[in-house]
Amino acid sequence: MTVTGTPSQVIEAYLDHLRQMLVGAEPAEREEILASVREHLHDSLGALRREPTVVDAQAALDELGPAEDVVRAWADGGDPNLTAVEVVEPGTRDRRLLAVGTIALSICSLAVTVLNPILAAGLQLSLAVIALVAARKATTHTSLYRAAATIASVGVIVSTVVILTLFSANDAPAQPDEPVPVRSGPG
Amino acid sequence: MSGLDRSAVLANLRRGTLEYCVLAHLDRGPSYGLDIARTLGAESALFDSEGTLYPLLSRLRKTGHVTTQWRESTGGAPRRYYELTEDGRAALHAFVETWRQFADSVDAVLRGKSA
Repeated sequence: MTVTGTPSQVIEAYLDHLRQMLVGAEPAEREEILASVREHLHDSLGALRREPTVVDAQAALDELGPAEDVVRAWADGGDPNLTAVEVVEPGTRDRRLLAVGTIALSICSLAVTVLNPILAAGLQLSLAVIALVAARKATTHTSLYRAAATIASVGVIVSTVVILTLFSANDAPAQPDEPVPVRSGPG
Repeated sequence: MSGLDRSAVLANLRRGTLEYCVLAHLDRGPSYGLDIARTLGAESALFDSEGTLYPLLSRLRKTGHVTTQWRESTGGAPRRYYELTEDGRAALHAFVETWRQFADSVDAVLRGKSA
């Protein structure tokens, strides 16, 4: 991994990220955690007994662990009965809304299959791709995105089956009309 | 058991025991963050990320199990030292007694299962 900037810039970027993620903590507690982490990094680099490089700073941060782990440890201690930890990050509600919206759109696209299967297939394919990419990249609500991707994928299959059925029905050779008996009158 | 199951078990065990490991470390004398992290971190089962100690230390200070004081360090900025309080020591002793009984019970059950 390429690390850019000075050691202090790398460390400050980590601390800024941690500060943002600890938005739910009381200000005094947040500052105490940040000061302790800063001190830990200072001591860790000071133990090198030489001018630290940016690689040293990154190595110290790697040992410290991701800011997400620190926040999880903080959130874990907030409620002793907590078994499943949900880390509250800025914008979490918006991201949850987005994930639920993707599921809702996937379900709606199933209804579109009845009206216009070709349009539905395109929509479902797009939703499946978007949901899969989101599930891979998102740090939260990945199960919601995976559910949306599954629903959209099922929709793609259903729409494809409907389209193929319609086309095969149109391609079938036309049945000759029943001969209409002609009755001629007497004489 | 899958890796995911193991990490979930480990996370649950750590949740209830790590703070007492910190108190046990401080029972040997006052210590600072990096020293606590490196000593406890030598036992890989206790935590994956050193940073997870700091919310815990902050909580232990708030609950009165540890106090902090600044001390001069050799050739560096002053360090925040954590020191066990009497409440912390009492909590540690209660844990040690309970833990032994608990661990014995769990071991007995597990031995019975494997027999």
